[in-house]
Amino acid sequence: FSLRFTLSMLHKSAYVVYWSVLSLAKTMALLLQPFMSLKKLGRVFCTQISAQSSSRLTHTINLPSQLGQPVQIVAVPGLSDSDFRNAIESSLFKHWLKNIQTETGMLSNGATSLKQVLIQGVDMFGKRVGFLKFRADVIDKETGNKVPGIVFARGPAVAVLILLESEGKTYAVLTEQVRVPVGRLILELPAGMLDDDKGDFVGTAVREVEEEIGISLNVNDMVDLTAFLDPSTGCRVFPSPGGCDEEISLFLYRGHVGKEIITQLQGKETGLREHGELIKVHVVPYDKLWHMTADAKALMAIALYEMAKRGGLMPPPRSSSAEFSCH
Amino acid sequence: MSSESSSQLSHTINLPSQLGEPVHIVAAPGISDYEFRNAIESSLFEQWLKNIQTEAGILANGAMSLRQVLIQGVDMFGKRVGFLKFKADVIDKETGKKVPGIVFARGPAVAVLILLDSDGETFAVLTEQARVPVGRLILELPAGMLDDDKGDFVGTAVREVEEETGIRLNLDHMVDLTAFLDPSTGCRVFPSPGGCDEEISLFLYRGHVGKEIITQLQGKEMGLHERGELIKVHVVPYERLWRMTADAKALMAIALYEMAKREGLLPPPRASPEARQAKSISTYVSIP
Repeated sequence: FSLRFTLSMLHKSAYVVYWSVLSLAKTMALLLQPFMSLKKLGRVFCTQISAQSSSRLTHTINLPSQLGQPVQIVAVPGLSDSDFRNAIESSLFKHWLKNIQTETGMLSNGATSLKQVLIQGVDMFGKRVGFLKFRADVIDKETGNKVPGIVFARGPAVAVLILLESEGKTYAVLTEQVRVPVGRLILELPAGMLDDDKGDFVGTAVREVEEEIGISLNVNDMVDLTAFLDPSTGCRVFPSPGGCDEEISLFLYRGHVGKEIITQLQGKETGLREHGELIKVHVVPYDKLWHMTADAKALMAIALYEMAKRGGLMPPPRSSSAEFSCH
Repeated sequence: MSSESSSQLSHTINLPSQLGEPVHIVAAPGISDYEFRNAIESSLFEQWLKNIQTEAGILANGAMSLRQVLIQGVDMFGKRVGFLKFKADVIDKETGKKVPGIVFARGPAVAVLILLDSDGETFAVLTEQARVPVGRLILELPAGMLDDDKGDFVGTAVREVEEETGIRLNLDHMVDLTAFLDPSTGCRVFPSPGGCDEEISLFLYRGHVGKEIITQLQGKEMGLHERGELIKVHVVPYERLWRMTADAKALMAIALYEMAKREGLLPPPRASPEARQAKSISTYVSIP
C-alpha cells in the first residue's frame, strides 16, 4: 500500500512540477516576448495559430491575469489572413489587452473572464492598423452573463485648448472641418491621434496644432488639464467608453498676441491636403466658446480649465508674448 | 438591388441633394445578404443619409459628393441593427481628394447630471460599470442609447436613470443643457466626431432628498442583469465630480451647467421636485 501510495504521490508531484514549470515558462515567455512570437512558441507550448481548411483563422493567447483560461482569437468570415495577423499584432490590440490587465483593468479582481475575441474588421492606414473593430466575450463569473463587448478601437488622442489674449480679450482657436461620421462641418479643438506607440501626447499636440492651425506652440507653455483628474481615473478622458477605446489628453495653451495675429488666423485654410484634411481656422471669443461648439473635447477642456481655475490649481501663465511663428 | 453571383452585393440610391450622381452601396466580403439588407434599411443608416443632406450637412453646399458606401460590419441586437460600420467615399470636388470616411454608427444617446441636495451639500449620482472598450470600470453619468426612432430623449433619460439607479425622475424637472448650445451646432454634443456618429443630449436634474436617500444610493447594485449590465451606483459630492470622472458626458454636463449658471440662464429649481425611489428597491419615498 505504502509503495503504491508513494508512487501515486510521486506521480502527482511530478505532474504538479511539470505543470508549474510549464506555466512558469509560458508566463516568462509571455512577459519577455511580444505576442507575435507566440506563433513560434506555439510549436513548443501548443498555442496555435491554426487556419483550418476553408474555415476561420484562430489564435490562442494566454494572459498573465488569467492563467489556465486561454483566450481564443477568431476572425469573422471574409477577414483576410493578413488583416487577421495585422489585427492581433497591432499596437491597438496589444494596448487593449494591456488595459484590461492593469490594476484598474477589468480582469484585475478576477470577477470577469475574457473568453474570446472576434476580430470583425481592420482599417489599414497604409501599412499601419488605423482602426480595429472586434467583439470581446467577457463573462461575469458570478452571473455567467456576458458584458457588452463590441469595441471600435482607434487608440489615444490629444487636443489643445488654445487661448490667445489680445488687447484685453481672450480668444479660443478652433478648427472647422467636415466630419463624415456626424455628416457635417463642426468646430472643434485642434486635435490628433497618436500615430505611434511612443505615447508623446504633448509632442503630438504641438505637431497637430502646427499642421492644422499653422502656429508653433512652445511645449513648455502647455498645461496638462487631464493631469488634474484623480489618479484613479487614469488621467485621460474617455469620449465614448461604451463603444470606443479612445482616451484623450487635453492640454491648455495660453499666450498673448497682437491684434493682427487674430485677424490673420480667422478664416485661414490649412490642413494636410494629401490626407484629405480640409481645415479652416476659426477664432472665437472664449466667453462664447461653451455654446458655439458641440465638440466634446472643447467642452471637457472648458470644464477642466474652469474648475481648476476656480480651485486655484492653475499654474500662472508664462510671462510675455507667445513666441510663435504664424505661417 | 443587384447581387451578382459570387461577388459583392450592391445597391444604388439617388439622393435629392445630388441628383444625377447616384450613390453605390456595396458590401465588404463576408457580409451576408441578411446583414446587408438590414444595414441599408436601418434607421442608423437612414439617419446618417438624412444628416448629410440637412442645411448644415456635408452635401449642403455642393462642395462635396458622396460616391460610394462600403458596408463593413453589422452588429445585430436581436432583430435590430445595434451598431453599423461603414466607409463612405466623400470627395471634395475642388481638390478631388477623399475626405476620411470611416464611420462607427451607434445612433443618438442621452445622459443626465443628477444633482441631489441634502443637508446643504450637493451630490451627483453616477453609475459605475465595466466598459469593455476602455477595459476598466468607470464612473459615468447615467445614460443610454435611444432604442427606437421616436427621438424621445427625455423619456429615454428618465427610463435609463430608473433602470440604472432606481430613482424615478419627474420629466418636468429635467433641464435640457444641450439646448443652451447655439442652433448652428445642432444642439447635441458629439463625443467623437472623427469616427463615430454619436450625438448626445445632456439633461440636468436637481432635487432635494433626505440624508438616508444618499446613504441608500451609495453602493447600490443595479442594471438589467439579462443584458449583462452590472451597474453600481455612486454618490459623489458635486464639487469633487470634475476630478473624479474621466467620462466625457459628465465633464460636458459640468461645462454646460457651470457656464449656463454663470450667465443666469438656468431656470430656478422647481419648488417641490420629486424624485421617488422605484418600488422594487425599497419603500416609496416622496422627496419634499
